[in-house]
Order: sequence, then C-alpha cells, then structure tokens
Amino acid sequence: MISLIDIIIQLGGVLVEQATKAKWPEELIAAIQAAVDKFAAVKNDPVTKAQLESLRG
Amino acid sequence: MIIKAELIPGMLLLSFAVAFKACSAPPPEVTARNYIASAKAFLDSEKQSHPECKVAPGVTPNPGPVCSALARATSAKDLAIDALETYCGGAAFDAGATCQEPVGSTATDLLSKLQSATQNMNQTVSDAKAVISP
Repeated sequence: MISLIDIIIQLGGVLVEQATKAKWPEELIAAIQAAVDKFAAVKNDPVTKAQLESLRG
Repeated sequence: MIIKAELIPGMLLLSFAVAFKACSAPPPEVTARNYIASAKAFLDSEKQSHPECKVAPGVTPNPGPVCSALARATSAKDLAIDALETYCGGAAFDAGATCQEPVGSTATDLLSKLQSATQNMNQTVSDAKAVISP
C-alpha cells in the first residue's frame, strides 16, 4: 500500500524535475531535494535497539 | 480550464508544501533518536577536540568545566537512550525488531518520560556548547 510519505517522495521528485526545467534558483531546488531525501531517510530508518546501543558513550 | 505550463512548478511546490506539513511530524521515537544521534555527533566531535577529557578506567576524570560539561551531557544522552529503549521495549525490540510504540495505560507515562529525558539531554548539550564556546 502506498503511504503519504511515498506520495511526498514522488511528488518531490517531479517537483525537482520541473523546477530544474523552469530554471528555478539552484538553492531552492537543493532545499527541495534535501527535504525529499530527509523523508526518504526517515522512511528507511526505523529505530532499533542495536542502533541505540551504538549511540552510547 | 487551461493551466499555463509555467504555473505547474508553482502548483507542485504548493502541493508539496501542504503534504510536507501534513506529515512532517515523525513518530516520537524517531524524533528522540534523531536528537540523540545529533547529540552523539556533537559530543564525539568535542571529545576529539578535547583529548584531556577522555575517560579511562582508573584515571581520575578531569574536573575542568569543559570536561565536566561533556560528561554531564554524555550521561544525559545515555539516560535518554535508556528512556527510549524503555519506550520501545519488549521482547521483540530486544531481539532486533523495530520500535514498538507502547499501548495501554502506561503509554502516556512512557512518552512523558521519553520527552523529559530528551529535553534534559538537549538542555545539557546546550549548556556544554555554552561552556565550550562562550
């Protein structure tokens, strides 16, 4: 089943493509791409015990 | 209705912003984990910059303000990890499964403790930053 995060990632990809064609400022395109990447990272990065243990000390 | 081609990126951006706002709040365990990871990165970086603060068995900790602040922040971070592990806890989580949000009567209490531990960690990290770079 497709989730809202999947929709945002897909929508963001289309947006970056269209904004590049429309010659939007590179900083704005980079910011949009960073937001999409952040969503993709959150989606693929669940919390696990091993991960938490690696953050000790 | 005809939509001008140059308006398409703007409409997409608006849609993206609305959808982003609608789902920009990650689950509490992800928020806490991200804060902890950020604190860990900062503390590791500062410990490398301040080798005099290195903690070793049998060695008396350096009592200076920077080392004390780093030690306090490290303890607070590890307490936040304890709180997050309790929040996610359960046999499946201990066996390697992803975090299972608590349910039932203890859920609110566990969430409150997690948020409190995370806030305390963030405060001690801010305090350490202030001591290191006044």
